[in-house]
Amino acid sequence: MRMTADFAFGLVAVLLGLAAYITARGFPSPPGPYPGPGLFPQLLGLALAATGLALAIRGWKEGPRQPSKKPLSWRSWASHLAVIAAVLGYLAAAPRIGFLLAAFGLLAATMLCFGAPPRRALPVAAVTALSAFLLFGKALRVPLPPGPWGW
Amino acid sequence: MDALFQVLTLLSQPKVVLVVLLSAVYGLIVGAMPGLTATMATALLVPFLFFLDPLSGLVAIITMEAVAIFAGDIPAVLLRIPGTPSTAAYTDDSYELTKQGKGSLVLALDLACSAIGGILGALAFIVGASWLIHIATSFTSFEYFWLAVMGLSGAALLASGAPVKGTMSALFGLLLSTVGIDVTLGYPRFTFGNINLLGGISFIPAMIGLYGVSEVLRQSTQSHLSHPPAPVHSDPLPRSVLQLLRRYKVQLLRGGFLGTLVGAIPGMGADIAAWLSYAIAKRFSREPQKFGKGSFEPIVDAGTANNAALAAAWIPALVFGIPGDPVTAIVIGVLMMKGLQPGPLLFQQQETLLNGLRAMFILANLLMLPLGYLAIRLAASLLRIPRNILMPVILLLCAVGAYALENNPFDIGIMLVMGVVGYLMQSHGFPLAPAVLGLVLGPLIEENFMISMTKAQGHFGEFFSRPVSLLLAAFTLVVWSLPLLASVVRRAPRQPSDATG
Repeated sequence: MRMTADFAFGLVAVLLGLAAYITARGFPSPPGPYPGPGLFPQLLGLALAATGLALAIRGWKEGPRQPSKKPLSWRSWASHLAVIAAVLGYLAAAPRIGFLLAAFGLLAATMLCFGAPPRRALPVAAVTALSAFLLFGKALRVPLPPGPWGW
Repeated sequence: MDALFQVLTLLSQPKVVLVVLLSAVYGLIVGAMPGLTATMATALLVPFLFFLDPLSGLVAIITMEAVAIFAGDIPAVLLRIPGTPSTAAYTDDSYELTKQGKGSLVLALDLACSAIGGILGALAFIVGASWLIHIATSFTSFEYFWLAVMGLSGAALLASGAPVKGTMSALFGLLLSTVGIDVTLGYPRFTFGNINLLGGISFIPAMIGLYGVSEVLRQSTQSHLSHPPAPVHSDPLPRSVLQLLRRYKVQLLRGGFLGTLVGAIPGMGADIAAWLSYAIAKRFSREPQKFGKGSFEPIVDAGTANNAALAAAWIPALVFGIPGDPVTAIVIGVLMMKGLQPGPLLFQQQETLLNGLRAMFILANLLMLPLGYLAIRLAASLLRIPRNILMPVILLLCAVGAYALENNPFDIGIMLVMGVVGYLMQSHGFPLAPAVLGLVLGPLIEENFMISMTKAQGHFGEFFSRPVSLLLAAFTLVVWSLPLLASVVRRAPRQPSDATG
């Protein structure tokens, strides 16, 4: 199995670098001998692609280094997804149900997913959400999303 | 004398005192938690700094950072888990000593060394910055270009220990910095028609993502773990600490000097200062065989060096606008947010602000002694806070913090994306610091590159025509060639190395 993480990361970097290079070639340039907005990103794109290629080749040659890390358990995957889903859920919910409930949702959902016992997680989530609301929304006057009830 | 009085009045305002105390406590808590770094603490602090005047804001960062780096020693001593990466160098020695029942002595020694190192670094800042500022006034776009490239290269190639991945990380950061309206023609680059991206990737939300959300993601897989209770320890012993300091005064001064020097080089920072100082301590030690097995020497040397580097990293940040580490990168962001541009003008026009900072660097390190003592006493209970409760709270703070600066939900999206990217990078050995510095230095490098190219009418030779720029270019080439030399000398596959920062 030659498909190492280094190889994959190198490949992604090559694609990203080339994409940046090609996009930046399309940027307009000023008349005369002066460099335009495309020059710098083009250089960076090529450099990223080159280092990516070097990493990919090294990853391919060396194969998996060290006894490869054991794959993430389903629990780890679930925890990762919970974090991402909690932030996305917060983003979607906050304008509709207000900051306080959305923040409580984010806290409670992640705490429970991480395996905290509900009798501890729920009160802490409620107190933290309220504190954040008072601290940011009231004391620092950040315009937190109000929701239909104003909180 | 008048200036000193003015500064002291300024710093003794109730508001400033309150800010100092709160940020010190915050630094203690964050630093003492394994996995929560000083960088993350600074990034999460920024939304609050937004509501303070520049002096209070910077004073908060100085205090918080100094205390957090000391507090990072606490879990290293009690649990063998470094609280911040800059403690990693002497974690083994600290823990071995704890097992021998000297835990409280190690912590007290750490505290003293941190304070002394911080003060040495502060003195270097006070003297060095006012000296370097004269050089900075003669800098043109050529010199700024090379200095920034040198700093970024140092972070990518030397400080990270993984040259190829470090370079990729730096280039990625630089590419991200090109998103948005360009400086020459005002052309929107890589915005994909999204108006939120016209102003570029917002730096603070990106930082919160890279250092906050990525850490939550990393720890989420081990959140069911709770740390074993810390060993019981007796009171710290001030007299034994003084004895140790007297015995290791060479190490103390050497660590302070080296830390200052390394910290002042753009792109290096406290982590590399600690490791370098550990290596040098071992090289010159009379009993190198004891290193890693419970020697006081590396604790004095590296423990002094990391705090010295911290203050010294402010020199290139404030004088040239080129940050020494991710924390000073945030400092530059905060200055800009306040409409202040780092560089010679800052030193000419903001005399009181700078005097305040100079005094605060010293005061913060003195204040650390009583607070640190308190932290040592409370450490055990801090470490018992369960991760599965703490990490969600940090996630919420990240989301609110990213939003609070511009009141733009889009920034939470940036934070999340950068968090996932940062997590993936870190878990595969890509150091984060080069990406951060690339993101901050990108506009500076590009602007000075474009100005220089325009001045030179496309002749690249002009980049080497002035003496100082030639010197900086030569240093940059040395930085580039060092990893190549090292790999040629070794002719062996590189060791995979951990990301720092």
